[in-house]
Amino acid sequence: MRFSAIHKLASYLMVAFSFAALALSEELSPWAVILGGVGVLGSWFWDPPRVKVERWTAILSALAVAAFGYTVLSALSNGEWITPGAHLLVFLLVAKLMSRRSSRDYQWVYVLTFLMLVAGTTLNAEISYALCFLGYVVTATWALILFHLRREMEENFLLKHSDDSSSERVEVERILSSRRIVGPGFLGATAAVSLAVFFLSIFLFFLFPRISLGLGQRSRSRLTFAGFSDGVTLGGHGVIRNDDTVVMRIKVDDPRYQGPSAPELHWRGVAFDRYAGGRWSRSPNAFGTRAQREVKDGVVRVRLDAAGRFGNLEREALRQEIYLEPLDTATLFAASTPAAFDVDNVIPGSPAATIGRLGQNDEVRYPHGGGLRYVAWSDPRGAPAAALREAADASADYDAYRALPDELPPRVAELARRIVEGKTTPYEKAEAVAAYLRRTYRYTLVMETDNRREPLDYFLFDRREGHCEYFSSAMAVLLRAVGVPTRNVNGFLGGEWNEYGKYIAVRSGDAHSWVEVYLEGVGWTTWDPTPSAQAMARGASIWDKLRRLVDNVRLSWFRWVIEYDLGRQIGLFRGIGDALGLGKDGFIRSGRFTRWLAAHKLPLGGAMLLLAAAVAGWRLWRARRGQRAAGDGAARGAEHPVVAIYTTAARAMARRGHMRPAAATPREFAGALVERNAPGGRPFAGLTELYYAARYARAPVDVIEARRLLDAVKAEAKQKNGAPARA
Amino acid sequence: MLARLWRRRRRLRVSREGKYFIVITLGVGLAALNTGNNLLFLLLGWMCSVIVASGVLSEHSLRGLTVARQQPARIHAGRPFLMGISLKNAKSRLPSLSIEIEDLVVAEPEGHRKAARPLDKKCYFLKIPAGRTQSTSYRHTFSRRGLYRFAGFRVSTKFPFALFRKSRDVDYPGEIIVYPAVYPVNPPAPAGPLGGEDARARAGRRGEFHGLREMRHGDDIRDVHWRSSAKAAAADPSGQRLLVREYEEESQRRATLFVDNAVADPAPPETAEALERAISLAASLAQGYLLRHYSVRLVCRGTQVPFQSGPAQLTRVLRALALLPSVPAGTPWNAAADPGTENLLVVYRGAGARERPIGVGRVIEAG
Repeated sequence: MRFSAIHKLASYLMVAFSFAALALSEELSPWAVILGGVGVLGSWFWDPPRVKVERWTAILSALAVAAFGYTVLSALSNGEWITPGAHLLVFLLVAKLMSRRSSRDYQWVYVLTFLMLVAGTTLNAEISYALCFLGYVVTATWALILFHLRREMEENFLLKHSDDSSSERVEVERILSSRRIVGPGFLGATAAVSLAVFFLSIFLFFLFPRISLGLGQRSRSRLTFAGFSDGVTLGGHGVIRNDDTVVMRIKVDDPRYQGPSAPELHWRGVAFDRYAGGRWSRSPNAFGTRAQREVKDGVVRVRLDAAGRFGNLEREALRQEIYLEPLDTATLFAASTPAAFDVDNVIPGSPAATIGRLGQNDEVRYPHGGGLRYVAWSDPRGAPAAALREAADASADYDAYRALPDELPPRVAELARRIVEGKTTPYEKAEAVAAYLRRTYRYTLVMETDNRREPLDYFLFDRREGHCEYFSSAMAVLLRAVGVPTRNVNGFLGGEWNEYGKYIAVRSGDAHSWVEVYLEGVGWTTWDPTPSAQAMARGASIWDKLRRLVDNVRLSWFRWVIEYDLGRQIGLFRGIGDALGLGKDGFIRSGRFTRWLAAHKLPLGGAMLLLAAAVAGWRLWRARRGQRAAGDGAARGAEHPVVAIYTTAARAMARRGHMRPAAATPREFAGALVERNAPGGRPFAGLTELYYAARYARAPVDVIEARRLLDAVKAEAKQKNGAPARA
Repeated sequence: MLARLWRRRRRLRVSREGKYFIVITLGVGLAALNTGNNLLFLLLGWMCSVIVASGVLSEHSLRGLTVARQQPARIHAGRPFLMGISLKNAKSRLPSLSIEIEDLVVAEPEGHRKAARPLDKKCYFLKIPAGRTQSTSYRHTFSRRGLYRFAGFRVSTKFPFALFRKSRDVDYPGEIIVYPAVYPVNPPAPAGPLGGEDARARAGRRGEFHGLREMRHGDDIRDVHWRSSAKAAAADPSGQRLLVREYEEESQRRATLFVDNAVADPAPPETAEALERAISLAASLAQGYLLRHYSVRLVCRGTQVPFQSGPAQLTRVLRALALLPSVPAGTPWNAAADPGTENLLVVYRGAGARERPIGVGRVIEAG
């Protein structure tokens, strides 16, 4: 492949990766992506001599000025600079690609691609940026090396010197068309360099201290999704369970909750106490979230009432490490029933510092800019069955959770009374209602509403099928009708076990509603009246496995790159230190290393000696080899250009019948030729002297003079040899 | 100590692009610290890696290179010449790319320069494959005659990204004698009735056999006395020397050039220039005589080159003139005129009336 073609290809690959980093961010307008892509592709063919680029320079410059003006106006009107700036970069890139003529234009193209990559750091935090970055690093190494060589060629290449005339410049185009400068070996070696650069970048990335001032930070774009919402309206949304967008990933420590067949956990988010007009909401009468805040080692721990059930939270509760995607809610999720939340790097004074102070119904909120990692502690098993059965009716303090809307038809309460007939304790009532609902009604995702009817009444008496919100609302309302305090809870159910990352991936389609029933002396307990037939079929097909693998990579990306912070950095270094035995109880500091050394003195000493001998031997071998190379004067002299010239001349003389006898030295041979007055003998004798000087005396020898003598040998031999034939 | 060693052997200069790159790297670093955006840290890591890779690759490119100089047989002041430079890549596998070679000159005549500095000309090698040698040359002109000492070479590269220019000085000492400028000149017509010819004319190609001596550069190969050389080699196997026949001088046409190299102390700059012109004229005259098969002798104050003819004599005369120092007025001439031969005194303009060598009648003043 020609040098210029390889350079162009490498540069375009670099452009493609930087453009993709922006285009895949979904922040650019579709038009910008399409036009930019077409422009970049089209510019490949838009170069001399096919197009007279200079004719378009003025037009492109004018358009660039107009685009700049438009960008400024757009940014001023929207108050947003990055996205309009990215649009401008795309335009400038296409304009520069279409007006490229020399290496200087390529230089500007590289600057623009770099700026696009910088813009991508803010606009695209997805795994696609990682892939584009890797591609960019590899192709940038190629492109920049080739660019350097090209510019050196243009600046240095090449002056053709001659003795009798002034030096002339060699045509650059000829060199740029050369196929010998770079080949597969060159590209392979530079690709290896690129990978080394990439890995060094990763190493440095982990090394840079994460001391952020937090100024000018732009949040990751938030995910708005249908499944979970901060409020429930019956019949508000349709089929949602097919949405595969991952909203959070959870690592649980307890092996009982790991694996594909582990029991499904309810990931509690928000809870509502007021039901009216088919909607659940929070009333001022609901309890505020009672929480104790502790700050230890930079970690804020919010302890809820449920934490009181544990003597030792860390040992007894279920620990979950949760990676939350950027959601359109500040709610923190945890397995029911949540006991505590640990959040680190809470900036004092920021809205996030109010964690645990705001919210009702045991909700915990933490306003955060983007995705979030936190640890939750939960009690998924709940109170013992005996305690549940013995629980008495709640006091009047919980009347807010017994309230029913006025518009609720009386037959709903009648139905409730009929269901719980003969049941005395709240637990028995709750059991009866849940069993009744599961037994009597069918789960469906097909929405059908009658706007003239109260939604719950319509579900219970006519429609008789619905999704989780209907079931949970029905149970909550039916229990309230018989005096049991309840609240409706929104969150997620279960999730998909990821065998690669050993975590549970909860998707938007896992959104769920269930009920919490208050039992005096026990607290709020979790009840799910929805029939279990709702579970989505998640197969073990190759596609599903691939999807889970990608999701695992994505989690690692967020965990180790996007969310990598000071705490994680300290943890990483501490882990490395521990692995190397540098920790407090580590191999070295605990004294075990010294004891081990003392116990293995002899073998260690022997190994050290062997190693030292091997190193010394290797160095000696290297030195000998160097000496051989240096001492071999003949071999070194033999590489002198004059030797090659002499050999050519001797071959020319041999072709004319003047072979050097084996017994004669080159000098004797030359003398004999002169004595015989052989054609070319005199210049050959001169060349022989230069040959001696170059090969044996290692004296400075004029190569140009040697070449002149060679030409003279050839010319004379040819001329005088041909004369008799003509005669 | 290591740092000192490195400084001695390596030089690192940041190019213009390198300066921009470093500034941008610092900018990205500040932005990363400011925003805590980890992707900016990733980009910062890449930029730092590029700097590190730049250092490693340039070091590798400079490693294992051997440079040699092939200088032309004669170099005259004011006349461009081509200096051959050959570069060998002794590495076994990897090529060296984008290498520049500069000759390091220690000192120029009259102490104009003391430290070794690169010449303004450089040779560029785009790619030297592993184990291969490439040659090129640079064109240069020394404006003044004299002895030039080369300390070695400065081998440098901007590979791979042109962010830095890394260079290494390698020792390769050498000397170049820059001969005075010569130009075509017709020697003056013979002054005497003999036309410079001696009555002691002898038959034979180059006069009568005089004796044997060791072969020197420039000697005619035909003068090698093979039998004696073989005997000498047999007697002393370690010294492989050739012996050549020496002849009586060809004295049928002889000329002596006297060059007055005495200057007042201190000499004004214009005097030095005038002396240079006189030396150049003397060299041109010597060349003119030798081309006409004269036997030529050079006599100066403090120096002389005895009569001989042929190309080797031209080299001897030019060498003597190249190294001819200016001496204080009053320094005696090294020889007197040879009666019966052409005797010419070359003086520089403004030399004034001075003591002339005995027997010299004709004086040429260099313009």
